[in-house]
Order: sequence, then C-alpha cells, then structure tokens
Amino acid sequence: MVQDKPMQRATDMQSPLLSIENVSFSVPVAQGKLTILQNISLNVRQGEFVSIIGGSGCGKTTLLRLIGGLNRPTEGRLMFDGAPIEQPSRRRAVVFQDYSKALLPWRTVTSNVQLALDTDPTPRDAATKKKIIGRLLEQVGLAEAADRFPRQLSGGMQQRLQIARCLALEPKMLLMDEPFGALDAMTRQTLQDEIAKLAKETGMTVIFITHDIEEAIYLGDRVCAMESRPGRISAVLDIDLKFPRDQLTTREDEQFLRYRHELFQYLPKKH
Amino acid sequence: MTARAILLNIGSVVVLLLFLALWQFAAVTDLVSRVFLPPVTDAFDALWRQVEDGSLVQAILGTTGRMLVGFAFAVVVGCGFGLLIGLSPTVRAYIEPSLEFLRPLPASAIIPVAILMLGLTKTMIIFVIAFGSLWPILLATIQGVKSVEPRLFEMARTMELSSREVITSIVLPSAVPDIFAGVRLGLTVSLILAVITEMMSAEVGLGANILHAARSFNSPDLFAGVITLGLLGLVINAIMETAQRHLTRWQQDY
Ligand SMILES: Nc1ncnc2c1ncn2[C@@H]1O[C@H](COP(=O)(O)OP(=O)(O)OP(=O)(O)O)[C@@H](O)[C@H]1O
Ligand SMILES: [Mg+2]
Repeated sequence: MVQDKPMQRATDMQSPLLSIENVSFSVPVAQGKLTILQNISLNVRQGEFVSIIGGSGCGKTTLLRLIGGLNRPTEGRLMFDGAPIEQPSRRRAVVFQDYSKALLPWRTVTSNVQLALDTDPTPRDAATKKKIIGRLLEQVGLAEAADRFPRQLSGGMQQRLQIARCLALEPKMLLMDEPFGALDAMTRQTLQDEIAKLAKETGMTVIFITHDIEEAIYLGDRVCAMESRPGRISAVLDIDLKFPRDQLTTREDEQFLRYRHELFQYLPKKH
Repeated sequence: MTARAILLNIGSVVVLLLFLALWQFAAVTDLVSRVFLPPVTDAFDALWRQVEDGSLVQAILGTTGRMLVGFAFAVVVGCGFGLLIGLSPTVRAYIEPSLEFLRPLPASAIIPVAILMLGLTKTMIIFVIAFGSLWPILLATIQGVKSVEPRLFEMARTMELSSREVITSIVLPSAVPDIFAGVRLGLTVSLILAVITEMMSAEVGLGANILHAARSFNSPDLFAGVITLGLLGLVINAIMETAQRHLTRWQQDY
C-alpha cells in the first residue's frame, strides 16, 4: 500500500498539519442521499490536542474516519502534511472505539504491539523491536501483562494496549474515537492523564473524540463542538488552562467552569 | 488433576473393564456363538500374534499411509479454496450454491464413480479419501475466513499491511479455530474412507484384514482388527485434541 506522499512538506511552522477544507460527506439512501457531514472546515497545527464533542449520531466517528482516510469525502478535501488524504497511513494512527474488536485476540500483548513493528518499512532487528515494545508497554503500564492474551485483560488494559500499538507506529497524528467512553470513572481519569502526558512528551498531534464536555476541556488545547443532522461544527473554543492539568484543581478552575458553561449550550440537552 | 478428574478417570477405566468382563462372560458361556464373538483373551492373543509377525505394523502403515496422503490433499485444497472463496464475496456468490449441493452427498456415494473412472487402484483410494474429507475442511475454512472481525481489516488498512500480511497475520490466524474443527472432522472421515476403500481393493491394511478374517470366520483376528482400529482412532483423536488445545490457547481463560 502506498503512503500519501507529501508534495510540498509543511516547512512553514504556521501552516497546519491537517486542514479540513469544506468537507461534506453523504451516503446514498432510498430517496436521494443522506448528508451526514456538511461543510466542515478545520485546521489543526502540529502538536495540537483537539477535542471534538457532540451528541450521539452527530457524525464524530464519520469525521474521524475521513481524517484517517478510511472513507473519502463526497465534497471538499482533507490535506495532511501538505498532501491530500487518499487512504489510511501509518502516520495517522487510529485508536478505535471498540478496542476489543481492534486487537488480535490470538496474539499476546507483546505480539500485538509487535504487529506494528513487523509491518514497518524501516527494518529493525529483533533485539531493537523487543526494546521498543518493552519501553512502550512500560509507558502505558502494561509491562506486567506482556505475555497475556487480550481476553485476559480488563477493558482499560485493552485500550492501553491499543494505544501502545498505535504509538509503535510513531505516528505524527493520533486519532482517538471515544477511547475512554466504555471505562469506569477511575480508569478513565488515569488514562486521561496518561494520554495528556504522552502527547506532551512525544509532541504528537491528537484528535480526540468524546461526548464528555469535561473530558474535552480537560485534555484539549482546543474544543470543537458538533451539531447534528447534518453534522457540522457549531463552535470552536480555545482552551487556555495551564499544563500540567490536574484532575482536582483544573476541574475546579473558574475558567474551566466557564468553558464548560459555554460549550454546554452547543450540545443537545439530552445525551 | 483435580480429585474430580481423577475420580472420573478411575470411573472410565472401571466401565471399560466391566465391558470387557461382560464380553468375556458372553463368549465363554456361549451366550453368543464363538463363531461370531471370540473370548476377549482369544482376540488379544490374535492381536499379539499380529504384532509378533509384523503384519499388524504393515497393516497400520498401509491404512494410515493412504489415509494421510488423501487427507493431506484435502487440507491443501480445502484450505486453499476455502481462503479464496471466503475472502471474495463474488467467488462465493458463484460457488456457494454448488457447494450446498455437493456437501450433503455421503462420501461413500462417490466410491462407485471413482472405481468406474480409476479402477480398483491406489489412485482411486486416495482420490476418494481426499474428496470425502475435503468438504468439512473446505466449509469450515470458508466459515472461518468469512467471519473475520471486519474491524481488523480496517485496523490493517491504518497500519498499511500488504494483502499478504493481511492473510498471514489476520485472516488465517483468526480462522484457525474453525479450520481446525473442520480438519478434525476431515481426519475422522479419511480414516473411515481408508478402511472402506481398502476392503474393496487388494491393498494391505486394517480394513482388508478385517474383511479377510470375517470371510474366513476367523473371529479372533476380526476382533483384533476392530480393536486396533479403535485404538488408532483414539490415538489420532488424542493427538488432534492436544494440537487443538495448543492452537486455540488464546480462546481459553487463563
Ligand atoms: N454508511 C452509512 N450509511 C448510512 N448512515 C450512516 C452511515 N455511516 C454513518 N451513518 C449515520 O451517520 C450519522 C453519524 O454517524 P457517526 O457514527 O459518525 O456518529 P457519532 O457522532 O460517532 O455517534 P456516536 O457518538 O454514537 O458514536 C448517524 O446518524 C449514522 O446513523
Ligand atoms: Mg462514534
């Protein structure tokens, strides 16, 4: 499979890593077509953490799939690192919402991460791979579970594994679809802090989908709110909260609460 | 082993011994004529004689040899075509109706056809074994390949896996439990067909021995053959079960 080749690499620091230009997405239905996304435009800078919130069915997953290259837009275009997005790429890793289905159940934790390395065009010897895997598992807190199979892991551990596998790709951008949606509050907070730390450490650009306003603010440099039918971006909010953020103090910050208040009006009242 | 497992094991041995005792009793008291049912002891004497003169080993090698060759063909063809059919909805649309017609045909139904075309030859035997054991393997492979989690294909796209990598790293391993279930069934069928076909031809083997013993009213040899076949089935099953347990380790909890 071919990588999308950057025709003109983004050398200018100001030019965005990802630009979504007037993108619409519709599917054919019995009577004409159904517009799922309409006129989406968004620029994401290198290293930015962008949260996207919106009610169920507003098209968040669809938008993420377009960015990932798993689907093509019916109108408009998406540019990544100076080249149009035409198919999925290892440089844009996807953390799927349904983690249990995205892992290889017959491979151990180590071996699941190994898949990302074995299929890397850059050749590495076994010892190097082993070292990389060890470091990644350490990073996501799975070192103890290295030899277990996915079904012997809790949901939070499976999601960590999926994240580790994505990190092994050394992507420029991490696309996460409600990654913590199915987890309990405690695990969720832990993983939030871990992903925030990882993003800062690696300088990775992250697109983070959630339907939880607080999670969106807590993690994001910017939050996009989406409206449904058809899906579109209704508000973009810059989040000016200092790092590192803290589960207690940040969430009690007055500014945090103001953001929460402001975003709340853009979301459907029941979700 | 748990206490319960030990108890069950002892129990099964006791049942087997009771069965043998009943058999011995029926034969010795002439409850059933000795022409048809030899005492257990005679059957095992006959078995021992066959072991000593080497004829047993020869018979086992003959039967299992043909069985394995036919079975190997079935595995290669069944997995190969199963992969092809399972991966392509188009191919499936064309081929599946014909499969539905061929599948319920008892394998023995094609023996006369095979004899007509190939004669009473070794080729005929291998063909029948391969043909008969092909179906469970083919159908199980199609099923296994068809039911690969679709999300895994998307995951593969995001990792830019080549088509070959998709097949070797995702499709085949995911289909292993199904394929193996089919392979086990196929192996059973191939043993049955190996025995039946050699009864019809002049090949040396366990089936031929049994038939020969029956025709000459040699009931100890007849039962020695039956016991050997039973044991052979047991050994094959044990090997397959171990292999299966190993291959599907990831499906078991802890
Ligand atoms: N291939 C398709 N055909 C028809 N409708 C589709 C298709 N894909 C998505 N939709 C519809 O588009 C809408 C948006 O779907 P999408 O999965 O993107 O929503 P979402 O915001 O991710 O929702 P959730 O929060 O529940 O995951 C939904 O109403 C869905 O039914
Ligand atoms: Mg979704």
